[in-house]
Amino acid sequence: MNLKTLKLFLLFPVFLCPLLLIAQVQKATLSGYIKDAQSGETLIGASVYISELQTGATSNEYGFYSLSVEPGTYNVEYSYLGFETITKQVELNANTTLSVEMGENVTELVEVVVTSEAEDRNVTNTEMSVNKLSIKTITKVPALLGEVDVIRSIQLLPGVATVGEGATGFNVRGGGVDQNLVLLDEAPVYNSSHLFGFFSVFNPDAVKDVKLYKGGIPARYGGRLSSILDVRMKEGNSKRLAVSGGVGLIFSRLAVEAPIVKDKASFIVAARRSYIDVLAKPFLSGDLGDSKLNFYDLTLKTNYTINEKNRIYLSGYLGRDVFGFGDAAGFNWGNATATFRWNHLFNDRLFSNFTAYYSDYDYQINFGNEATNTFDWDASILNYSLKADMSYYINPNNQLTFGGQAILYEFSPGNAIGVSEGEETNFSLDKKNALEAGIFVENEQKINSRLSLHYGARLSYFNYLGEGTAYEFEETEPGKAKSLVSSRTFDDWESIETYANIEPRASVKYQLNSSTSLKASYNRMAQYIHLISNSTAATPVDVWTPSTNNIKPQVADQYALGVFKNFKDNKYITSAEVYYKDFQNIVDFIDGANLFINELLEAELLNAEGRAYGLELQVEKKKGRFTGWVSYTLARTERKVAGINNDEWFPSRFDQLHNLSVTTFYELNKRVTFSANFVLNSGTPATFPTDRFTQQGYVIPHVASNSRSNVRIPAYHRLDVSATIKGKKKEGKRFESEWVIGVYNVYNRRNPFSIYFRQQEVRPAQGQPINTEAVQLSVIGNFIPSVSYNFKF
Amino acid sequence: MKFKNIFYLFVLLTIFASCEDVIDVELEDGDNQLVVDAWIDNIPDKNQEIILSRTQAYFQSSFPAAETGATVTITEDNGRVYEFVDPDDDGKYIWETTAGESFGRLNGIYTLEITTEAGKRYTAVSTMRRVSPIDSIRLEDREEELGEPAGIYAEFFSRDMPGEGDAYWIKSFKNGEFLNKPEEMNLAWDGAFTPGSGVDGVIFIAPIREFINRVPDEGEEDIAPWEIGDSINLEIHSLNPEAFNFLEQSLTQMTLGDAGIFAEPPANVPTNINSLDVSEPSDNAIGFFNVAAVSTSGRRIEL
Repeated sequence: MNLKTLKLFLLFPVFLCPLLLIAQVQKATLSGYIKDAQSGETLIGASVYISELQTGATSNEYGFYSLSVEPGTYNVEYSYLGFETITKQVELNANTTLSVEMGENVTELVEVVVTSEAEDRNVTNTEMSVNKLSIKTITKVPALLGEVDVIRSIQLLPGVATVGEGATGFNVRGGGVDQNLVLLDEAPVYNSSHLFGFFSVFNPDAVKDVKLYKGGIPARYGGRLSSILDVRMKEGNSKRLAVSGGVGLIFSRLAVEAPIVKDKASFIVAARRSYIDVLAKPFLSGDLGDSKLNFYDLTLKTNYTINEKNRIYLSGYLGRDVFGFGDAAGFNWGNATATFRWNHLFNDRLFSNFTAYYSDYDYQINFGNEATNTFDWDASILNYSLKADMSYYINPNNQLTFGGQAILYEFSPGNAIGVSEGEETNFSLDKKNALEAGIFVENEQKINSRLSLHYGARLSYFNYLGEGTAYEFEETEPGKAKSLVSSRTFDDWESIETYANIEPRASVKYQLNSSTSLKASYNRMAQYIHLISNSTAATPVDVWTPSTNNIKPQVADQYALGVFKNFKDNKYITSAEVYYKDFQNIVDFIDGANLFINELLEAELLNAEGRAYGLELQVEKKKGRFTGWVSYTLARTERKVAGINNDEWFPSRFDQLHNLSVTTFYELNKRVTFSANFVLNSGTPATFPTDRFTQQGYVIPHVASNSRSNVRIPAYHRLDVSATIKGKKKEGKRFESEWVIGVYNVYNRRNPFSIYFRQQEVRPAQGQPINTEAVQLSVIGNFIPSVSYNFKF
Repeated sequence: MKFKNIFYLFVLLTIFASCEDVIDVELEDGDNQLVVDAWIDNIPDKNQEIILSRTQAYFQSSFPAAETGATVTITEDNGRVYEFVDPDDDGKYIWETTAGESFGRLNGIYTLEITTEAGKRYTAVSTMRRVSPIDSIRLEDREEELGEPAGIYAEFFSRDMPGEGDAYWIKSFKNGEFLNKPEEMNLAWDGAFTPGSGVDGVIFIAPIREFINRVPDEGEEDIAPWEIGDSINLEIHSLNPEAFNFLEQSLTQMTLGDAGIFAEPPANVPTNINSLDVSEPSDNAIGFFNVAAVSTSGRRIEL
């Protein structure tokens, strides 16, 4: 750490002091946890409202709320979407703890009200460019092969795109797939896909809540440019044993949750496994009968409430995709995460959470069934982190959050060992180490009933550490591989390069009237680790690399403006947002770059700038038998790299001018629900050749203008439908079951993923000219029916 | 072949519902550039040929237009000049060898000079680099494995020369016919796949050793590459590093479809032809010049 950065770090907390002084007036604090009465799960984002004072609070990620007001007697209203609102009369003379359980089992003591403050949160709070999906909604969306999928559901939201069907990850407002911080109970997940990208790694039975930040990102989050996908796992039923599961075409699922000590400790274990290999076995002949093709994941979580002030959580995830062909070849990849968290209440107003996590992504490939000729290759990214977040509920008008995080990374970019006729060759690349740290402070402030602010900053710091060799390169020609000038070796933990960034974040809300507000936000994000991938869809073998002396941290600035309006008593929720985003130091690649097992990889990386702008519209109907949403995005996302596309801007591979999606649900009766969704996207950019030329009998495509992304492939559109039929529930029995029948790609469209050019596949005949052709690749070439069965008790 | 291609083997076996359709596409017009196809080798008693042509529309399924009337020479660093002439006026410029002679010498530096009929000049430089001798070709009668049919498979043995930066193009011939499909192109760098891995001086690694087997044509997937009575011949051509890069990228660009959703971005392949008289973009030539030393080996497959 250089002196300047150190000073910044030390001075940072000083900025907090003036804010802390606000809290000196005599007040009484009402605080506690808000939970689901049936399962004991804490509720995230539930509302607490004191109507006499027209003031309120929201429960945080751990279900905690705190409200400090003048002493008095108040009617306190607790509300949460899908739950019955409850009101309690509270005599608030001193600091009071009041934990509430919400649900259908309301006692006669509480009064049921119809409207609640919570329903217009999208209008009244400062949050913008944020989408929240409950697992209930995600479960209802028609899914490919009936497999409920978090990532695919996110792609139905405005501002979220993908390069195409089956591609891993998602693209938010012009950002690459590596610019999303995907968090599972605070631990980052580096590859969110099973089977290359068809399914995501999150088991819906274990997921409680999904929140996507596309902009106005709070200062407590950092490390990625474009979005935060915060996936929270269920804690496990603390009231009784509950079992749920299902049988689908791809996965079978089973989840068990139960109290360990009633209302104090509980756990959930959820597992899934695919069985394509089991089903395919009878149809595979010979040695292919020994093929392995499966993927599984295991999610566990347990929590223990030590007392009113202390609660601990332990969660873990383990997932793997396994391919194997007898003992001749094998390939597997997967994530593993473990998170330990401790919620501690210093007092009624100061909530803290301490997190320690471990996250690992790795893959292994091996070949050869005789010991004298083998090839083994693996790579990984491993990290450990410590994190502290404090929320100080100063008064109903100010909520201060501050904290810090440190992450230690170990990158294994590639270990390869080949044995050739008994002779071993080691191709392994050096490991790379790095430390990332950040401290932040932010305040949510209500100026008056119309104006609210949320402002803060994050100071981030990155240190690329030895041991290792640092190379210095010299650019010879833009867009071409750089040449090596010198190299220097560093010892263990010796600092090779440091970077620091101040990342200001701010959003403001101005309430025009009770159902309309205007919001604006700005955020600067810095990203210190990069996914090295130059293929259309990222692959499981792509490796992550730290910022080094040659790779600068990526930085993005985003400005967004939005109008939020609700109609008919919050029945219709609408929003319109525009954004502009500017990217610096995006990693790009020379043509034909060698990204694997290449010690001098950095010579083949290019530094790109990017820009993205767009308009996002969303209309959501929240109530009634017919619900759903329509989202539309008009957007442009471009890159500019010296030496590529004649130094001019070109659309990025996931640029889509129009992106429309319609997702609807219709509840016919208590037992039958229909769902449908329709998506229509502009075709993504492609590069088509103009000419061909011949070298040694091979026909090679050529673009005369040397431009990239010179055409667009045809538009993508698709309709999916599904019906959920619940079994008759027997009186007094807890057992519930349902059948889900669906069809993906109903009207059987062959949507293009890409169009490529090739010599005709016949063997070129001597002395004959070669024929060439254009071929359209469709990842899904048919309609895909599905049926699955789910149960719980 | 890159390390990553290993991973495609797994992909191909799993994409369950994908499909490919040959479609009609309209393409923009090109620029009609000069194409230099100059791959010279030192095989004894072989006439050397440089083909000059023009680029053609991508879907034009005919021979490209020949560039005739050009002056083509290669000058060796010792002053010797090899003149290439086009007696048939078909754009094929030939240097005729005399009996027992071969082109150039090891480590010689060669300068190609072309002056077109229109007076445009082009140059390129290449060094004849060393090549590893082929030790042996081994045959194996194999059981059905990884979806490949049972039958005779070949494997060659050769050791990369010590010292980094040796690049090779291994050409395989079945009964005198060059295995010329793009997916049969077999390239090696220091006996392994690509530069940067630090591997050197090894016996060519197994995937490269076995990549000399004929890839079955459509409808022949259950026929093994070799039968009794076939002849198998190999040539290893030494490559300049730039030529390796050119072939590697050409291979990628010709086989983008094989990578499916994981294809790299389409891009023009590089050239080492310097265009000296450029007044408009179409005056830029494309193509490649490489002078190779060649090692050979062959055998007949017998009972």
